[in-house]
Amino acid sequence: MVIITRPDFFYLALRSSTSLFFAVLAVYVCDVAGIVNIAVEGMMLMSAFWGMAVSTWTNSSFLGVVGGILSSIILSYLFIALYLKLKANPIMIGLSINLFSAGFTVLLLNAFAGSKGTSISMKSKVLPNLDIPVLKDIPVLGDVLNNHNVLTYITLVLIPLMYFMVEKTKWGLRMRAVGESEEMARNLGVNVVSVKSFVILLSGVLSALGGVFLSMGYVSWFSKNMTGGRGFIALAIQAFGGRSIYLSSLLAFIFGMTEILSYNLQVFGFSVEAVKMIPFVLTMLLLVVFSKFKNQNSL
Amino acid sequence: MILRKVVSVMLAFSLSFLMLFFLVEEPTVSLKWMILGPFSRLSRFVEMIEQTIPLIFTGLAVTIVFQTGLFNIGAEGQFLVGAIGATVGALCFPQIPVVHALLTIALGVMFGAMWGGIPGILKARWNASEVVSSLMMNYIGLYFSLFLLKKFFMDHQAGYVVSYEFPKTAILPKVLGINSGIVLGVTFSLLLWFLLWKTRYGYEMRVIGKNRAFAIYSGIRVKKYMFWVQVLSGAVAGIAGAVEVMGTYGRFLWQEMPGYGFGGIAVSILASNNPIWIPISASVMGFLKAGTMIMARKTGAPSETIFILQSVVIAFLSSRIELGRVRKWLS
Repeated sequence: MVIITRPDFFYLALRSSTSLFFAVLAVYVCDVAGIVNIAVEGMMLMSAFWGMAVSTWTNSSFLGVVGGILSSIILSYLFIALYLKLKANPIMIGLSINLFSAGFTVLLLNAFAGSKGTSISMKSKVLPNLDIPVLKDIPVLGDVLNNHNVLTYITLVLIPLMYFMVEKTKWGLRMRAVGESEEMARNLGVNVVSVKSFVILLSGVLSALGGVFLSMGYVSWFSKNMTGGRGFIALAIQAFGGRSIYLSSLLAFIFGMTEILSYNLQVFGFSVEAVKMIPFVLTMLLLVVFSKFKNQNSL
Repeated sequence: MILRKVVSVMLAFSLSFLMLFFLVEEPTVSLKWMILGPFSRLSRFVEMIEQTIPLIFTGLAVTIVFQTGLFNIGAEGQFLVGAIGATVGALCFPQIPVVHALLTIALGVMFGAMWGGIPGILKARWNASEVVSSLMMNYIGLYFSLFLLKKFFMDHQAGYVVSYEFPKTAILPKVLGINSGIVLGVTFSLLLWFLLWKTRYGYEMRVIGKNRAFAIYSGIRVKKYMFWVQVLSGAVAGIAGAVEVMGTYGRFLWQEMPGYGFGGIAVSILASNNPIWIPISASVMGFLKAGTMIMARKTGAPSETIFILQSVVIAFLSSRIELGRVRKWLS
């Protein structure tokens, strides 16, 4: 376990937890307003595809990101229509959106890239890495924090920003009020429908950023089910962290570290499946410990 | 009610037609195989019924949980561990006729029940969301099954990742060339219908589903039910996996989530969460699944189209769309 002490280990861990940070933020904003959003997984997958596709066609990574966000926003509107207009259960909507994304992305991949697994014929334009002048020269810290993908920096800025929005602004107050009790919020004159719509759209955009990072930063292609349950892990992390996004983000980072560690374990000859199981088992354990702890507090 | 169901399936069809039309090279040929494929040859008709069997069980597994007002999104994982449990039984237990098959199913059931019971106990004891934990258990189940498969049971001569073929004593008998699991599935539908509507346990489960607070005040031991219903559900989904490997394939052959768990949710909701209708709604979904599989084999269209069909059915039937109002719009 010598690798843990090396700066590039933390560099890689930060890189691999980027999409999870976004997913956690997406789940967080919905959770504050009392919506369980399991559709994050599907939204990420959909935008990962469109990010790859649009950036390949236009040869512009920026337009790729825009395409990814748009696709996720469409899904968010679908969520809003089903949830607020047609009164469907959010978990059912989430399942439906996840299934739809899983099917539709393969259909699209097959149509545009001629493959049912990975987009070998389409290579997405990768978002640039940033070389920050001052940061670069700081020893160790520079090695860990410098030269990351743009989206990694964006998510690191978004974490405190979202926290600020939820805890300190009027909008956040409304979100929290809706999350506490819809009835009460309505009596206080909060427009519950617009708050919920806003939150779902915001969650869609955040998921999209997490998704495009996967196909346009972490790697430069799209492959079937490439989100691999990250949205669900985010859901579990959020259940643990609750309203404290910093704790959730720390956990997301620990997951990033686990992922890098697990690559190393594979090199040492551990079975791929055993290694892939680690993050999910870890999440389960966290859930057990957390629920136990929380229930003792409330009693 | 029935009209709503028919509309939902028609809508699912039309949406996927539309997509296939634009996204597939030979849309008319693909569509033909998707709809008529299951009826074009006896072997394909059998395939359709064999796709229906696991959906009956996973549909039932989801139904009993829904009736209790809970969720089970983990049927996918329960199916897989049920199948790997049966694989362990089939390849390790002594080959005594009848006894071997029974023990093999029992092991599949136990694995499934365990996988369902973990989210159940977390919910009952510590109020941890069963949605989150059952989603995690899906992935753990997938990797756990693959781990066991590759470590102990993989047939290296087969050329692809599958287990050894099961001995004859662990194979379910065929009825008219069809996996006899179908008989078991229909029997289970009747049994669970009886449980839900004709016994005290079923009554109490439905009371919890309708109004949990009321159930608590009227002295029903809600937490106990929360646990045992998930165990039962996992066991039923485990049978699905066991029956599938023992009856249809004779070996374990999945490398990713097969989609029966999520399919089971569509089946359950199409049957209004009533076990008695499950075999019929599973047949509808089995027809769609077999159709897309045949389409994928015959043309280049991906079999993942089934997910789109299922997603439309779930979305439509879980929302409150009033057909009367739609009819008014149209006229």
